[in-house]
Parts: sequence; C-alpha cells; structure tokens
Amino acid sequence: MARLFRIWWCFFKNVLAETMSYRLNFFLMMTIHVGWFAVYLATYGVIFSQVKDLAGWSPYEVLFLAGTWQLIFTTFVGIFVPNLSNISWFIKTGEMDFVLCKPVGSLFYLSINRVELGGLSSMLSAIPALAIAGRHLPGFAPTAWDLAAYCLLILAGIAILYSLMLAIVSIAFWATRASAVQGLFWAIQEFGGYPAAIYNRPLRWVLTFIIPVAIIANLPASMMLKGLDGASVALMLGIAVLALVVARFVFYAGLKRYQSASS
Amino acid sequence: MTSGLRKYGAAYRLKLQDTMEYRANLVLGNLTQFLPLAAVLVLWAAVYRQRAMVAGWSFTEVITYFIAARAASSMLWVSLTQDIEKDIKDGLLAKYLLMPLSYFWYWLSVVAAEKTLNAVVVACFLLALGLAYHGRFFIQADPALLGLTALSLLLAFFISFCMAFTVCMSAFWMSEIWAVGFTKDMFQEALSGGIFPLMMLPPAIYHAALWLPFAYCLHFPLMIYLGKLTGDELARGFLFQAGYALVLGLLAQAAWRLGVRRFEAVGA
Repeated sequence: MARLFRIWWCFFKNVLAETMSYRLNFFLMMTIHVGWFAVYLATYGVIFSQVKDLAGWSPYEVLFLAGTWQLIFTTFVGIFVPNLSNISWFIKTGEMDFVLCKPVGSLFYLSINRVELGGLSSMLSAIPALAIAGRHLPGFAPTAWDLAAYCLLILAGIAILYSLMLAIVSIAFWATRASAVQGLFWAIQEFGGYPAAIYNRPLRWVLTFIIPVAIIANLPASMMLKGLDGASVALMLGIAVLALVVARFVFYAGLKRYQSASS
Repeated sequence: MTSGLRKYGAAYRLKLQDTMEYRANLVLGNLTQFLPLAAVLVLWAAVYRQRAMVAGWSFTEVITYFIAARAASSMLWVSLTQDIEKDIKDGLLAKYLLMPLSYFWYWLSVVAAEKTLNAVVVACFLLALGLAYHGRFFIQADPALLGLTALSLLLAFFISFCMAFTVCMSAFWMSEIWAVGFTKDMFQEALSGGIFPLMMLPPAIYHAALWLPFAYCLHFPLMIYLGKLTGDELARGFLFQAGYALVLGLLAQAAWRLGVRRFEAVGA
C-alpha cells in the first residue's frame, strides 16, 4: 500500500510540474468546471422560478444535492477520467503492451497515472454551495458522526462512478472500434445529479441496483438532510464494494482477450 | 468563381466519401448523441407533473425543443481544435499554404460535408421518432416558417464554424489550445440554449443573451421552428444573425492572416 502511494505521489509530482508550466490551461480548466457547475445550478434556477419544489425536494435541498454531486463528480473527473478514457485508445493502438510490462499492477497504473488538477481543484466550488444550502435548511445541524458517514459515502460514490466507467470502457476489449461506448457512460452519469425521487419506480430500481448511478449523490445528501440511517449507509457501501468487484472482474476478463495490435 | 466551386466541391466530395466509409460509426455516433437526453427529459417531466405550462411552454413544446436542439447540434456543432492544432503544431499547414486554396474555405467545405451526412442520419432518426410517437411532438406545418428555419440553420452553421475556426487560430500563439476550445464550447452550449430554453431565463438575462452571437447558433432557428417569434422578432433576429455571420467571417479571416505570419513550419 505504501509502495502504491509512493508511486502515485511520483505521478502526481510529474503532473504538478507539467500543470505549472501550462498555467493558463490549468486556470481555464478550473473555470470550465466551475462554469459547468454554474450552468447546472442555473437549470435548477430556471426550474425553481416556475415550481416550488421538485418531487418533494425544496430548492435548498436540491442545492445541497447539487453540491454533493459536484464534490463527487469533480473528484472523479479530476482523478480517474483522464486515465480511464485512455484505456480504449491503449487497446486499439496496442500501447497496452507497455502498460502490461510495467512493474506495477496494470489496473492500478491505468487508473491513476494522470491527474487533472484543474478539474480536481474545482471540487472546491461545491463547498460554498453546500454551506449556503446548509445555512438555509431549517434544523440542519450535522453531528461529527453525520459528517464522518457523509465523507465515507462520498468515497463510496466516487468508487461507484469509477466502477461504472471502468466496466464500460472495458467493452473495448471485445469491440476495439467501439469509440461510441464511452458516450454510454456520459449518458448514464447524467442521471446522477438529479433527485432520485423524480424517477418512476422501475427506473429508480434500475438506477439503484443495476446501474447504481442514482444513489451516488442522493444517498449521502439524503442522509445529511434527513438524518443518519444505518441501513442506507450499509446499502451504499455494499453496492460500492460490489460494483468495484464486478468492474474489476470485467476488466480482467477483457484483459485476457487482449491480443495487442499488429506491429 | 467556378474554379473555386470546383476546388471546394472536390474537398466536400472527398470528405463525404471518406465519412461514408465508416457508416456504422456515422450512424452510432449520431444516435448516441441523443442518449444524454433521457435524463433531461425525465427531469422536465417531473417539473410538468406539477404544472401544465412552464413559462408559457407546454410539455410537448419542451420535449420538441430538447430533441430538436440535440438534432440541430449534430448538424451545427463544429469542433476543429484537434485537427487545426495538429496542422499548426506539426507543420502540416505548410502543405496547405503551397496549395492554391484558402484554408478557411477548405475547412468549411470539409466540415459542411460531415454535417450534411449527420443531417441525413439525424433527419431519418427524427422521422422515425415522429412516426412512432405521433402527436407527442410539435410539428411545424407552416412552409414559410420551415423555410426560414432552414435558412437560419445554414447561417447558424456558418457562425458556429467561424467561431470554432477563430478559436483554433490561437494555436499560432499558444502551445495547447484544448482548454480555450472547451471554454468556447461551454459558453456556446449554455448561451445558445443547449441546456435549457433561453426564453425561460429572467427577461433581463434573456435579452442580454440575444445580443451575443451564441443565441444565433441554436436558439434562434429553434424558436423559428417552434413558432415562438413575432414578425418583428424574426426580422430583428435575422438582422443579428446575418450581421454576426459577416462580422465573425471577417474576424476568422483576420485571425488567420495575423496568425499565419507567425507560422514556422516546425517539423515539416
């Protein structure tokens, strides 16, 4: 574990040096991520200028949910997306050969060798959203336990997003030319940022147990808004672990089929 | 004039043939564009469960708006960042400089070919959707408005192309331009009405957005199609759209002329 962290730290230092030499790009990327968050909030602004609540969620509850989603999503985008989105390219070009030769687990290397600092730092924009929402919500006074559980569920949310994307990009092992498969992930994640209550029963069930995208931000936010509920916390942690196991299995099953590109 | 048509016509035809070689990619690429709509439509359905009309829009109109916006985007959205950056950084541009053609019109022909095929695929999809869910969408029957929509889509494509081309010209000055490209994309997506109808914004913001070129990339043609504009608004809109097409066309050419002086043909 300590060795893996040392390796990650080396990668991180490299990226930091690179980012600091292209500072304008870093600031632009940060602005873009914060800008998209503003656009996402503006959508809710437009909706709440017309209706008082959204499937039972008040504007500030939705703001809290949006902040939670932003926290999870930008962390995921900053740490994992630059890596996972390369996997299909590595498979197609045969560059995976070099990854397999490295003296470190291939999934570990493929998951964390790059960090997108602009995206990662934009997660700070979630904090004012959460703070503003918290101040306006009546009776919002989380205990230390609530906060600890919230942080744990945030990590579980990141793990679920990671698993979903890993499983989807691994399809490239079977269909090398399927450049469209990544689009599937970006379509699915759209369901993560909205209150799950807007989905009808069958859809909510699918989005909880089959493609568990609806619980990613909804469970941690609901837990903070409506009190700590042990069963929900356990459910989310269970789903996160299961998702990781399944995604890992899909990845390694695919890797067995990897034939390298003709060189 | 005729030699120009022949030259750029050839570039257009070549790109058509090239894209047609990967037909499955063409169809899949265009259809997966519609997938992210699922979540958006579910969100708006939840809003309409509480009210029949939102800001003067019926649910049918909103559904039509989002589907049409997505369809129009695949015909109008221009992203040249990777191609042009590569031409400039790797010195490949030298090849074009030696040819008796304008880099601007060359890319316009190439992108137009791509968008023509996208338009065909998307039109087939919309037709199928319209037949399958007859009555759930708003179908504009007025031929005059349909004609104006088509004209406005053409101008929107030109504006969108000029903006993308101008942004790419920054590659003459900067070593990496993807972040600049993303920034433009964000403003374009939000302020052209790609995320929600601009008309639902507070009036002051809506009217301010109408002064920017982005509104004429998507919002304006869609509003014509939905019949949301009065005669005056139509005339004013076309004036702005044509004006922006002219100004942004000149700006793109000026950016090219300034930039190409700095070109060093590294690696060529």
